Amino acid sequence: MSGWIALLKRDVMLASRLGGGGFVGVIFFLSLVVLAPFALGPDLNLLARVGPALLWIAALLATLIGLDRLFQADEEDGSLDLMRMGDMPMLLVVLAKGIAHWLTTGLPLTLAAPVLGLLLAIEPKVLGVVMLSLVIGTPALTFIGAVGAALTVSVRRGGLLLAVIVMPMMIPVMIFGVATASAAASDMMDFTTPLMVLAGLSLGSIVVASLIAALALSEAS
Amino acid sequence: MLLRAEALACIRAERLLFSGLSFASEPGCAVALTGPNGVGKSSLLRLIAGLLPVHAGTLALAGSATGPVIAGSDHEVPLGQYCHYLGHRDALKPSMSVMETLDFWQAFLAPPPPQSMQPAQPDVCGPRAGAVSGTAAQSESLPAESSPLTALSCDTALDRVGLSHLADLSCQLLSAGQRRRLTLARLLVVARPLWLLDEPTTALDSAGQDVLWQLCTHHLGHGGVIMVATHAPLPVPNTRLALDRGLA
Repeated sequence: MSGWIALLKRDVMLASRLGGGGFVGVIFFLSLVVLAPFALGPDLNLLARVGPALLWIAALLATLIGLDRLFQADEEDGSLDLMRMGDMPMLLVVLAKGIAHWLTTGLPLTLAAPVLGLLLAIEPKVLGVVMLSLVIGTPALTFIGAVGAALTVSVRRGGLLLAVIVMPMMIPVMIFGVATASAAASDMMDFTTPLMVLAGLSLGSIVVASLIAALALSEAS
Repeated sequence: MLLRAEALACIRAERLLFSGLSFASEPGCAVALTGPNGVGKSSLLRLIAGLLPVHAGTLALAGSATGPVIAGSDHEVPLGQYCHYLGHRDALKPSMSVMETLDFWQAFLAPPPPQSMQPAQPDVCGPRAGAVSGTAAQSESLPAESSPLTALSCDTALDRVGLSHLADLSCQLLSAGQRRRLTLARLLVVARPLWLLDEPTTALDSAGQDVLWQLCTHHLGHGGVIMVATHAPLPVPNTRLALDRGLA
């Protein structure tokens, strides 16, 4: 257990230091959302309507940014070999690295969302729900992405390949993430229903995707 | 602690590297793995470490408290957690300091599997049949009595490899030889019986090489097993295992 925490701490530390690329995703998220009002024009009604969807698309793209290095950096310098040789199951290694990635990408961009919500003229009540859907949904994005990262671990410049592999699997997460926000905005429907589905997708993908990624990494050698 | 391999075969990229390879380590003697480039020295070490699949044959690490650990084509138990593997890639992160790196690997790789080492017999290493022939040197430098292998603290390990004054430096700034010394320190902070060293002297200065062979002598004297892929003669007692293309 102490080894698992050491790995989690190491990955958070590496990501947050210069060159670790941990917060690059958040900056990308910020710039993407800031650009949107300039492109769409100052129609507040339009911005409020597409705002939650924009936040979700930006969150998805921002998550993809650091993912290609999730296992590749450790594979290239031999750290992953030592992890394969340790007595810690690969599943726990994937889990620690996935959680570290979420702590340095998904969580900060959720926290940055309210500031951006103001730019997009999203109502405070809807903004709260969007934040809730992001905090619940982004772990699914990270762990689904981990499958792609594990499959492309030995592929040079595998970032685009990774995006092509994992994006189709991320579609359900995005559908229910945006549906949660739309339900909160329209008052026609209870937003907890799509939120529950989103939570289910998130929990399910943490388990299933970790298993698949661990299997792919053990086979990669 | 002894390592024994029987009828090992290794296939990489659908190419047979070697087959029918059998050898055994002797107490207090390292196994010096020699052979031309590309013959499969590194692959053999990676195979023992469990990083490559064993195509055929068995590997046994005997002498542990839990009985012999057997790995092989029809056994699922990998030897990885009993091995230290020192390869060409050094697993150092540029943005972590020397001490942070060592602390992390100690926390990650510990606790070591429970082991009780068999006392080593620091005497002659006789020639063996098959691919193994013996040379013995410097056997008097082994300690007279043996104790179980123990892990050192990070401070002591850094001191042992001569890096204690650089503990707070980031790995980015280390020279190639200093990086190699740091990877040697990793062998010391977690006690594992089997050391697999792939050309360990690369980039080390002569003082660094002395440190390396002292550590190896100490490890062998305490019942550990060492396999070294090398092109130079080893200054520690060793049996030679020569790989050549005829084995395939």
